[in-house]
Amino acid sequence: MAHINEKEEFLTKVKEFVDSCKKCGFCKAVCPIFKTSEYIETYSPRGRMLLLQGLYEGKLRPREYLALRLYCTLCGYCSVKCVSGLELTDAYLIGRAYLHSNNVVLSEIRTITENISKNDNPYGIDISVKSMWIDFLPERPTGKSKIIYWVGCTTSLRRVDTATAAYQLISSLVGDGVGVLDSEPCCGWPLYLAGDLEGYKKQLTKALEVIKTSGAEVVVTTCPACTRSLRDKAKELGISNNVRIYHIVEYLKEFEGRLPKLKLNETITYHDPCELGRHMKILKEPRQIINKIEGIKLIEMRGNQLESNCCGGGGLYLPLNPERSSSIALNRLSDVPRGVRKLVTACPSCEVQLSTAAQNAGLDVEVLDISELILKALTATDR
Amino acid sequence: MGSPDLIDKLKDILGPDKVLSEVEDIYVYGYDSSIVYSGVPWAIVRAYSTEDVVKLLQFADEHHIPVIPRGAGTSLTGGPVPLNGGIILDLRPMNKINVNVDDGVVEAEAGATVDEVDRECRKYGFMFPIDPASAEVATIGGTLANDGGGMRGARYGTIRNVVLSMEVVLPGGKVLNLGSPVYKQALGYELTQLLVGSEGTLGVITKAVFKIVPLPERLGRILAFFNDVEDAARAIFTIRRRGLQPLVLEFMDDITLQAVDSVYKLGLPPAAAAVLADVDGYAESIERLINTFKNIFIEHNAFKVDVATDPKEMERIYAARKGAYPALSRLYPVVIIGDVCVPLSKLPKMVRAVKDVSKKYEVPIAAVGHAGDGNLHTFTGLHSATGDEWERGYKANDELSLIAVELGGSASAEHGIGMQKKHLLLRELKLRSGEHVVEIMKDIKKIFDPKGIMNPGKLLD
Repeated sequence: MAHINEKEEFLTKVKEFVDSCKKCGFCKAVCPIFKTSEYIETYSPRGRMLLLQGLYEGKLRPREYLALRLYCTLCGYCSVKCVSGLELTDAYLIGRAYLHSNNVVLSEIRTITENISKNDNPYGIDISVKSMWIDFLPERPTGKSKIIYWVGCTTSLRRVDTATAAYQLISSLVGDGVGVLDSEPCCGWPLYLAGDLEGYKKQLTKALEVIKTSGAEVVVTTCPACTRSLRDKAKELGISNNVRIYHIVEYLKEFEGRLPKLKLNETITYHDPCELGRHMKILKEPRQIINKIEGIKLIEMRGNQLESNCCGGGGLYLPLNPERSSSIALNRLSDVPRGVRKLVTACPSCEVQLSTAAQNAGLDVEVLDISELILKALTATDR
Repeated sequence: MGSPDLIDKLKDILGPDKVLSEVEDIYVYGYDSSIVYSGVPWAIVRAYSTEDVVKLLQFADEHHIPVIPRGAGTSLTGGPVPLNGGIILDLRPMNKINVNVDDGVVEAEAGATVDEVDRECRKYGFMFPIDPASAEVATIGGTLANDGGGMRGARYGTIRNVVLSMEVVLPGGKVLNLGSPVYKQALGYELTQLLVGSEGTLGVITKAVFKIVPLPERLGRILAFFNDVEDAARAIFTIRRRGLQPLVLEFMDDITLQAVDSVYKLGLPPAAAAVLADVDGYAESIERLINTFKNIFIEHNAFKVDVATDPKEMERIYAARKGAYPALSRLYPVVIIGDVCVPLSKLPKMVRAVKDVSKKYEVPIAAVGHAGDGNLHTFTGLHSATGDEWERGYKANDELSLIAVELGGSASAEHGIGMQKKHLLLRELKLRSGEHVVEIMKDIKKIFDPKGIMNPGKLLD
């Protein structure tokens, strides 16, 4: 999406959506925000489309009250239901950019964007902490490498187990030193979600420059948002470099035929992260990888693949409304098949969101990243 | 109203969280699914209980404020759109459901969606008989107010056929309990049925009790393709003429099939029409039923008949029907949805008329729908809701409605009247019964709503 700082540009971009929306309201059936806001229409996907229409017609003006209702988790389930086949999250993001260009920035969102500019991560934690996960590795990464593990802000600061497992897994697959960046910046994705398109472009350029300078040829991440930002959005903006960037699921898929023997007697379920599943359409691959494990039993969640329910952790929604976000996570946990105690996913934000909700509710569900599962299956086989 | 004082007073009465009056909420609640209609309410009241509805209707009565009841806002005819201000009464928060398997009934509050009710029934091995296409979002209250039906209409008709009793709040706040939650009842004038299809113009339906039906032991699905649209329509007529009772009996014309195939790439054969039937019964009888239907389709020159009993395969052949509305919606920015119903013997004439009218007005009109009960939905595809093309589309839709009435049918089957079909309703009533019926209806309205505050501007108003 191009930079929107002019009303004319907003009008042009949003027109297609406004004209094509049939207002059927079928999107409302699956919206996690609508469900957890006691079904107030203004919090529904159709409501968001009408808010955009109101802005388009000049009957509504950018302000905080509207912004609070335009923001959602950007899970994209509404688009699956859209009779007109619209990618509704694109429309919401056009709206967010328009709000930002009108200086309507919610305080919680401003904190995130300021954190990125000050500390290179959305959490406002000193950047040095971001590499502390390395201390938990059996051996420290050494020197430069052609293959880099891009840990990402959320994995490094919130999911150390995922970070260490992913690093060890990639190392065991390539059989050679895997590098990490000395000072890994934020990929900029939260700025994009906040509608700060100029800021995003700058941050993304900086991140790509750091990768380029490292001499890496391959970058592997555990974060779908980082993958979308560094690869897909960069390509769309014409600023990508020649480095090959993979999400860990894609990378494992590349190795599918050459994967060592995997064995683990576990019954698990898999949660499709919205970014990886609905947005990147990586739906079969994680299942194919999981099913490579001898002894594994994968039971699907109620609502999976394109119809996966949201965990509530995306779209910068968590800081805006932690209570509603937590209710969404609890709803998602209720989709775990009876008797299953392990929930595997492939996104650090989903992991944080679901494990926190499970813990707070006293549910006996362990949440782990696909890297952790595969590493465990690999280690179990080694023994 | 509109005055901040009255809105504050309303907030005092109901609690501030139950009243929305910011410009964004007012804008959003001014729309339904009809595309061409919109309005500006003064405020929105979110009802969580019958008591909330009573309080609002007392307040509205006292201050002569219009009240527009609303479920999911999926009306295709402008039913819940506020014409001249007033208060939108959002009933979606009232969504309790109670299945009573022993008595074969379900009680649901007005704001529960049809799908929520159905899912609750399924936990007990039953299902809710009515299934509008919008079931995932459409509410029980809205479906009652518009007399909605759906695919299973071939067997169960519209919601009118399964409602037993209801709670209604009248203007002024009086609560009526109409009907009785039993399968047979003689309670004088049938007021429960009067409220069905009344579109919020008489009172507010807050909850109702319905018959439920057992889930079929086995299901079978048959999809037949025809080279002649009238052969398909005759096949439907023959099925009903021979006394067969399919659960679903759907019709799709060539424009629909082409649209579905171009959007979803299903590899459908080029055909003038297709008919989809669902049959249900005991495991031992399902094959015989399927063969009976299959033979009727072949008798009527079907050139391809697909059959499925496996759930995955059934889902696959259902894709052609399921994708109809989305596919047509993707091809045309604006769609006028028609909703005629004709006697089954006249179905071949009606489908032929769709083709003729389409040609006459030079607008594409797809015919698809629940033909098993004579109900055809026409989709007039347009590029704009203004100008000459819109005029032609609008006239074509009107002409089809008139043809349906001339064939002994009705211009409105299950989508309600709202604003879109007011003129068609008046024309049909006068053609069928003369002015007197209209006067009786207006008198009924006055008895229930003497101040005229309930959903003004809809139906006959």
